[in-house]
Amino acid sequence: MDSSLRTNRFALMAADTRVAAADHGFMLFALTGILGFLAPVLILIALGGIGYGIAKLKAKHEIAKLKARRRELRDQSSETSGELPQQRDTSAREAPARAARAVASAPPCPTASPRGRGREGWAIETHGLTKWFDARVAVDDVELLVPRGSAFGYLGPNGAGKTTLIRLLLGLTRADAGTMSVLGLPVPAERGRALARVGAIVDAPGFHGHLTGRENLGILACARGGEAHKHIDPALERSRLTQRADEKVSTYSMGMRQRLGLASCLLGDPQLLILDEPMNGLDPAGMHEMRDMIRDLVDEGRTVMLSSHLLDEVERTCDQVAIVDRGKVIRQGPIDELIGQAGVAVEVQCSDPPAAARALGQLAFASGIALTEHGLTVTLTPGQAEEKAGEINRRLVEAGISVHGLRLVHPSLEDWFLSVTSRLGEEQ
Amino acid sequence: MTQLDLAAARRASWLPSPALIGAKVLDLRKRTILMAVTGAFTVGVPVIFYGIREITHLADPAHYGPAGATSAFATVVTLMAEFGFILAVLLGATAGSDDLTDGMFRQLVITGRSRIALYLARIPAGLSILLPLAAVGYTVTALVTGFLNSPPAPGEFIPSTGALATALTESGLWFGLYLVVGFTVGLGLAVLMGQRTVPVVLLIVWEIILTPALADHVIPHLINLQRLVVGVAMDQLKPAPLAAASVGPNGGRFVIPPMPTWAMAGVIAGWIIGWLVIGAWKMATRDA
Repeated sequence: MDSSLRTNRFALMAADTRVAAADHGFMLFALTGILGFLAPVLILIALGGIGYGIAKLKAKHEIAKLKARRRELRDQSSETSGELPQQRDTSAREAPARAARAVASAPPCPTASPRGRGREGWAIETHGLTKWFDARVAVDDVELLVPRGSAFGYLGPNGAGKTTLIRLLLGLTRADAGTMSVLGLPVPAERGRALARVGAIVDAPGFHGHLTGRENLGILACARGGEAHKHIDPALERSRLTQRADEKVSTYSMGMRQRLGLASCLLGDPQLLILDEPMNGLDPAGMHEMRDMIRDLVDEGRTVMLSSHLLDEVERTCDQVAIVDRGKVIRQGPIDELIGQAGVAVEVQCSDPPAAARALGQLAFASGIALTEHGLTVTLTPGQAEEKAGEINRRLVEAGISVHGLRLVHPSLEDWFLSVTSRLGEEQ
Repeated sequence: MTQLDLAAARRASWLPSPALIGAKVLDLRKRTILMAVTGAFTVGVPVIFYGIREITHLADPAHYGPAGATSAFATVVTLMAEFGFILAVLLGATAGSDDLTDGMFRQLVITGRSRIALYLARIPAGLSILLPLAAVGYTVTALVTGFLNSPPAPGEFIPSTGALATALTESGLWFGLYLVVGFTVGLGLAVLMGQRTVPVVLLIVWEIILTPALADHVIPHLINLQRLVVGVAMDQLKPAPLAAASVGPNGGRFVIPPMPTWAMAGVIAGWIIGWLVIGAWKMATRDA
């Protein structure tokens, strides 16, 4: 009864609601037209896909060849020096080991493990970390040791692979080779636990423009879980955003977004902060504040690793640095020690600069002498600069040259960076 | 285990927490234009449709039947389904791609939260906005059909209350399923492509042009492939009151030979699960 009722009802409804359907022939015509229109597009897409596939295969082949070539070159260099493959590996890791020894001699960090520089002692530790983008190596066999409780600068020119290394550490992309640990936890195996204690800004921090700063932090706090919500207000206050916290992020300047990024880093009460170019977009006052904030964070026992190409900022902010060039870490250690290697210069103002240059020409500790407009500059070998300056003065007086002025010039990080990179350029 | 470790363990879980879902709801809900479109497509369509019908009926009852005539029900639900599918795609694509396009995805990944949890949170978040609004729109349709259908137009059939309730329930469930399909396909494709515009355009073309073409024509030797199109399966799963409105030139018969119910369910479930899995895979492996 009920089913016949339904059938009747549906038949009636069908009759009432039937729309004027297109003619069958017209539909076929339309379908043919659509397919005719789409066919060239589909063919182009298919051809593009095949071309892309071939290019990808070629690129993979090139990468394999490059890698094989690198291995070959390493083998050749070790054969020349008479090393065995195992010794080669050890040798390749000597640079960070030296850096580690240098680091160990630095003042102890507030949060450093009582066991010293063991596996738990490093905030970040990488070995042989490598990342390829097609045929280009972005991170090349990086050995990095970041001590806890310090401000560590990761310095390098644009495109040197700074951001890629940070992305690897944070699990944003996968490494092709090597191992890494963050706060003593292997990454990516224990990425979740490691990142619980890490705050990071990578590139320019992105936020939902249609939400307020506070709402954006709320979303990130939800993702973090735990007590992150309690840290929203203190984080906003610390980044001096409290007054603008309830405005949409789309109205923020770049500097304010950078501050909001820093606030997001603080939500998890982190032990380690990784800041990628944190000074970008900040005005001089903002840079000053950021520098103070980083120092405050370090004073609280946190570790801050910041990547930058601004040498002056890094020198003012950091205790230690690593220099990266073309994906490879070329030097690392405490800034003072590294700069110390560059050698101090002595500016001499005297009555007869050419004669002075001749008189000082045979000094063993003078690694270079250059005449200037009012005198000459003597570059000293590292160590005991004051005594060497005294010796220069004595030699000049003995040669009968009047000395009007003598000034020690300590190199800056920039001078050292340029000397290191220019040396590398010459070697290459 | 410390509290921090507990929080870290929760973060590693692939199950999204209620707070994470709530955060995604907040993100979607605050998109003013999207919410306006959602309201217009879900509630606005039946309100405007019935509003016009009722006005014309009141103006000229002799020529125009009451707004809630059973004949109008199938038309309005079919309209709601078409608009709703596009809306569901739009909402799914937004939920799937806005973190990426705004640069927030990287920030979320840095928190250490499982990427799968971040992905899965989008499903209940998006559906919790879409389905309630669609339910409101459908309720308007059901109420108008139930109460504004007298006096009946000449030849109009008034079903019994029980039959009407069954028809309304079946049609409502089908409508809801249609939206879920649109949402999940939009979500999966947007996550796969990492953007919103292209997936939305592709799926609108798919829904408006390709699906009707594939559903209304038999391609020799490829019938079983045609049956794998979700629109074809959904068409065949339509409750009778709705099927009656979209039969076209074949007098109420499907062009493609009917599929067994299990096959329809399989195709629909395959599309939903398939696109969700594709989205999850891409989310888990994407460079952030």
